[in-house]
Amino acid sequence: MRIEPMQRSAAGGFVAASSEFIPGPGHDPVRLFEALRGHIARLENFVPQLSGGRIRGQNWTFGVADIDNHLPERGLARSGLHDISPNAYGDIPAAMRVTLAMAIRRLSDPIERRPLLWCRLAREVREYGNLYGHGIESMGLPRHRFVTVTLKRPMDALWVAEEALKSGAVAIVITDVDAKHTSLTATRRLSLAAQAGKAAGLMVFTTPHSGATASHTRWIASASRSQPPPYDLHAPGRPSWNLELVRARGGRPGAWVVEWQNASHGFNLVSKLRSGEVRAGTAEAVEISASQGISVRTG
Amino acid sequence: MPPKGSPFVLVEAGTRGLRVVALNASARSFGISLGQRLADARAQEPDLLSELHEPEQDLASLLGLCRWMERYSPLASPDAPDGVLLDVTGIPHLFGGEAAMLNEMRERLAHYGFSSSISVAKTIGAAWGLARYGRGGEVLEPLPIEALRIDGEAAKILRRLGLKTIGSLIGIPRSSLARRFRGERIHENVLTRLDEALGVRDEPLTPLNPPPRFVVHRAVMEPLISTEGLESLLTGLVTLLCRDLEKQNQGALRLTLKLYRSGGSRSTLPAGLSSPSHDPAHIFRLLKPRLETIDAGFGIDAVTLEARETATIKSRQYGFTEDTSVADFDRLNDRVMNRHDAALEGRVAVESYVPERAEKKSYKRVQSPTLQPTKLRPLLILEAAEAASVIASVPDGPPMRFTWRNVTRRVLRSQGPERIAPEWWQLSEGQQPRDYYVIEDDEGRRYWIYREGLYGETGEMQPKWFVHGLSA
Repeated sequence: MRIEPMQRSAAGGFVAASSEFIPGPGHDPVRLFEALRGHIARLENFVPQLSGGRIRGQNWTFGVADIDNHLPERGLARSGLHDISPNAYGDIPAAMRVTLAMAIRRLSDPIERRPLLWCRLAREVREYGNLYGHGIESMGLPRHRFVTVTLKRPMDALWVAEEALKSGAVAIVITDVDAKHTSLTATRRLSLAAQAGKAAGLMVFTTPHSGATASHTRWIASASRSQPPPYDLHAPGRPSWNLELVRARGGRPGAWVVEWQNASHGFNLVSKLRSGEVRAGTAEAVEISASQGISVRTG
Repeated sequence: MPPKGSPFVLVEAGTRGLRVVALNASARSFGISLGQRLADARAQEPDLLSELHEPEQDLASLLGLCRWMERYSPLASPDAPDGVLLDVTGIPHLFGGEAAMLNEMRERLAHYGFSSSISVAKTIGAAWGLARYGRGGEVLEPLPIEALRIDGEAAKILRRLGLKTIGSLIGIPRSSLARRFRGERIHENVLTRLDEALGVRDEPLTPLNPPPRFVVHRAVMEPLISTEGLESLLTGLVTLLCRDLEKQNQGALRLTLKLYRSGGSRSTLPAGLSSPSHDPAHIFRLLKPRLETIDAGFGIDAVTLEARETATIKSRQYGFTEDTSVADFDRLNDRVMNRHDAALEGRVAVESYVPERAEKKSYKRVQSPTLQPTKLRPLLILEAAEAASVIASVPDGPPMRFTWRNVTRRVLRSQGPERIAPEWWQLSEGQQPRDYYVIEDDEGRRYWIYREGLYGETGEMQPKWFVHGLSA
């Protein structure tokens, strides 16, 4: 990206002389970087999140330093668009759940009292089922904090998402939509609507998306084997996902395995070594099958 | 329907057989009269067609006619069994005078196959009498006393006294009439009916569709075709309506926008609001997308905007810790509802252990969380549980491998069973207890599956497995 001379942005309240860009004796490199970051944020229409308490509320972080370090301003853009694609067809529930987890991180900010809106398509509901309030509550989002809407056509869902983002009545809009119905223009519209309404848009693509989008960050999610809880080695543990940051405007990509803690509304990093261990540890599977008696086929 | 011109009667079963209750002109020409027995009528005219009288059908058709008559006046009221009352105050000049209006009504009604008798008078009573007994006259005095809407008993007494016309009744001193005919019911009360016919006593007309309290109307000189023109017209109307509403502290709940085309047809655009509002910008935004969908034809020359349903707006101050986005949220809901056939819906927890019954959708926003969140529930629940073929250890082991939607998955971890028994108070027969398991397959994807029934319970019934929810 080409950085223009600063005279232009003087109207925007940011003043920096072009000489500041030359690191020389007497110049503080820390301040220089700050100035440059601020400038890029301005160009990208970012609102700096942690600068001098100008914006109320908490930063939208993952709560995991490793991930947050990869994000611009150490957090997700609170009035921006983010998209999450499943790694494969069967990972759509995983992508939806990790999206909800990210949304809960944002909604647990005490200043944020607006609800979450989840736009779905009727055919997705038929295929993957209805959102279950008890399930959402067990993730940590109480039922008065979310509403859903089911629409017939993808264009309707995008329309509702845009209106909802623009209206400022909801904090987060999650939209499940097939990637082929979105385009750079459609996502750009949503991104602008998100800025206008100070709300965040989260898109869950039901097919892996390869085209360009105007999202601030792009993620690929898939289910990951969980760590069994210490009291029962055969039971599934905390939900865990492989999360890959493919693209981040002002950040850098990365890949992690994370788990979700329902009680504390927080992500945990699972070390790759540990998750690898489980995959290699087929002994466990053997143990399971040994502990169970005769098999019978039914249904 | 009988062929036109053939004698036709409607009959009703009475104590002494079927009696004629209605007849057409052709039947009358054969000398058949009302109240005659069907057998006697048949003797006079063997080709007489008859049908059983259905009063409910008559009433329904009268209501339909009454609605149609609203084209002449918004204040139309059905007058069972066979009349329609219209308040035409200030209306005849729109149709070129009283006579022209009556002629048009007669012609149109005749065209639809109704034989009609219409008259205009200053009071409901007088119009009623003139239409039924007037024979085209406009004077009340020579009419028989039955024209006063009094019942047969009172009329019989009056006739016995030699009072055969309304004119002769008017001549009698009121006090003597009052002494004689002070009936309990209005049909017996000759004096009341006489006063109503003469206009001494007021009689209200209860219209079928009460006119909306808040209406704004605007007509334009040149018919409008362009959307821009209509939009600017609509802006004016909405502003006017909202000003009227605001003056009375009312908010619109249901709106109707009526567009009159210059060709004579009309299209009606309804809009609904989830909470009363008199905000012009919001109402305009609801109506605007609808405006684009209509066909203006040769142009629109008049527009009416009605608030058909209103409610008092409670001004409300929000507390420091309260959610201030309620108003914004309602507006968003209105826009979604009016544009698409969908609404923002919350999920209400229902006290039930059966998962599909434990929750229902509500069009109101849910106010509070569930007090005791249930554990281990999936994010997504299938609309109908789908059968899966499962390998599990008997009698009550967790699944080890299962095939669902043609894909076989190996189970890595499982938690359960969580037994959910059918609710005996729900009167659902043949339901079996379910054992739910939370399953994680070797890719980390989670399923919520259950077994219906138990192994080795009754012998012939094998338990079945179903996938009920998805999660990951």
